[in-house]
Amino acid sequence: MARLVVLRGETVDRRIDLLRMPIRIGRGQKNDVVLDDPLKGISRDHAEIRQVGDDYVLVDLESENGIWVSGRRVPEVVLGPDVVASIGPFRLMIADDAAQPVANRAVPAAPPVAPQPVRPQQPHGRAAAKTAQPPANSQQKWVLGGIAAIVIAGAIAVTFVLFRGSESQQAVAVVAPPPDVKGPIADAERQIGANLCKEAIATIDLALQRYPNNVDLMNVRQRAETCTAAAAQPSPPLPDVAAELQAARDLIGARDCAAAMTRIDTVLATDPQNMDAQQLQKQAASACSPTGAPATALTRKDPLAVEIPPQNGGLPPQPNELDRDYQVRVKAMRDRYDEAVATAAKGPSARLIATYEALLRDTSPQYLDVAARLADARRAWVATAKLRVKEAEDLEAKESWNDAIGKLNEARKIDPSLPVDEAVARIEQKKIVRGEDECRQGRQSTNYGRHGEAAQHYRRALELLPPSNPCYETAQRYVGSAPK
Amino acid sequence: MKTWLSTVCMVLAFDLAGALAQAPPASDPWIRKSSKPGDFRAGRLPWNTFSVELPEDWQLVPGFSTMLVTAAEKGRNNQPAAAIIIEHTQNTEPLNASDVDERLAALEGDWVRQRDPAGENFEHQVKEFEGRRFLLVQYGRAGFNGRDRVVVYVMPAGKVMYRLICIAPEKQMAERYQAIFAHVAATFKPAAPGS
Repeated sequence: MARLVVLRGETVDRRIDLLRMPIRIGRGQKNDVVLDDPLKGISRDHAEIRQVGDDYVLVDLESENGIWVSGRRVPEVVLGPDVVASIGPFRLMIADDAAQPVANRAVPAAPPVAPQPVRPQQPHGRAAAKTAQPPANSQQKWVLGGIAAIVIAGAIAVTFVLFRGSESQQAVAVVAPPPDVKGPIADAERQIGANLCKEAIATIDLALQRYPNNVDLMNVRQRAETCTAAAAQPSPPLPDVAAELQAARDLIGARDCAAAMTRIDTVLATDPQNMDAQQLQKQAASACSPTGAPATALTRKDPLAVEIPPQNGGLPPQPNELDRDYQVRVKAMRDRYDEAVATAAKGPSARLIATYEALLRDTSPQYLDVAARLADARRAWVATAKLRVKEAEDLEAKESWNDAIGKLNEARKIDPSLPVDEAVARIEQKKIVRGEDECRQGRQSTNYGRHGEAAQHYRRALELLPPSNPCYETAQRYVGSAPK
Repeated sequence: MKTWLSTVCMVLAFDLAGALAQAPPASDPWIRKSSKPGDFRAGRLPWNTFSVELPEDWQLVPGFSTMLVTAAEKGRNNQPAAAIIIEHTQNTEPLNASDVDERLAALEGDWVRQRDPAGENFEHQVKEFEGRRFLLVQYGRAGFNGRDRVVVYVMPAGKVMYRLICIAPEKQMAERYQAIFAHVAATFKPAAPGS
């Protein structure tokens, strides 16, 4: 008999015997299998298992987040021991009753669920496994009853033999009362579950001192030793969760949902409760398949870019570039152009020229009217150089010599061919004459005790004289020591 | 006859023009050497930082602090007379010839006015004599026996500022004392730096 195994992360959530078909799965309470997911990764009526011949087919009931197999969204999938389908945070697989592919997992099997609807509130844990009842089938009852009888008889026999071995001197065979090993075994089980294997061994060894030949204790000890050995082995490297999720985001951005899902599954395999991974899973599902269709089919619908001529603001498309990506690039470049034109309205500037040059570099000489605009901007910029010279002349007349020289230097920077050197030298000479005059007045004021005046004159001298001038040092010394 | 007269006139005109061209420029009445140098003698002073010729019959009284020496005219029966006070102050910044200008004269005028607030009619000038630039500040003030006239010669010499403060009755200044003060100022020579 086939059995549906529902896993959440690496933990078996439940096992369900597939006794009748179909089985409806979803978040809604009316479903046969109710899967609860606070993140709403499961739709109210998400999927259905149908029997087709010997196969069990999981069919998507047009759910929002769909069914995923190996990173691809699928409308339906034939379940089997080797086929794992993902629904939200759950994974579904079929386990053959005989094979019991997940029987060796840490969490033991829940009792089979024959009556409908199936509910997740099933007994869990080892105790549940021990008390598991066979199905309400009379033939099975007899078989299991026989097995139980054999097991009990065997246990009595083993106990008797062991008792005889340890108490060989006793003439009368006495069946020892069952030792109270439940407590130590439960403790050890808990410790094994928490990977505290050495502690589990210690617990068992303590109990074995009292009940040296107890089979249950020995079995648990053996498991604890296995657990220790497993713990001693180097564990496989854990994935870098942040890197995996970032890669998944990038892949979703690139619409490679299959690869993104693989990355997300890797993270969820390690940390099933990882909220980021769960959200990304949903994001990948909706981003790549907004209509519920398989992602690959959707991707094929995206047309490739059609080149727009540069005169109309177009760019050369890149190989295999999708049209929507191309349109984004074209718009971004157009925005840059519009920004440059807006800047041009404020007047010519070196920044404007640089912007136009960059536009031409990133597009082509035919891109809109950038080349013509660049030529205009350069002409206007050179014209501003002459304006700067005129401004410098006005400033020179007002004896604002430093500002005048600044304007002349600006003009020279704009248009290096402008003859401004002579004007700069003339103004520098005027500065020296005036600076020395200020220095003389500073000296005069100092000698008559007029320190405020002297400081003012010396400060002006410092503004006007080059440091090599003999008076510069005097002025500097005075200004540095003058009372404020 | 006419020809002879016009020739004589032309010769006289040329002579006059030549005489005018060769005449020395009119000297400054406030600084010039006296035509009677015998009336003065070099002051025998304990400092080597300057030299000066003072009136021979005036008394020299040594000073103190900024006041170096006073040359006072010997008056009869203690009648009011004239005096020359030579002062010096240290400059915080050395002053050279190029620093002696109208602005320095104005500063000096203000300074003198502050020293003698009751003074009137202050005047200041920049003057030059034998290549030396100096300041001249004059003013009048009320004395105990009529008005006085004060003439201050200010002669900067590097780190030192010399002042020749010449005081005389205003009524006798022009006819008697101006020439004396002019000679004293003309002969005042600060020593070269380092001497």
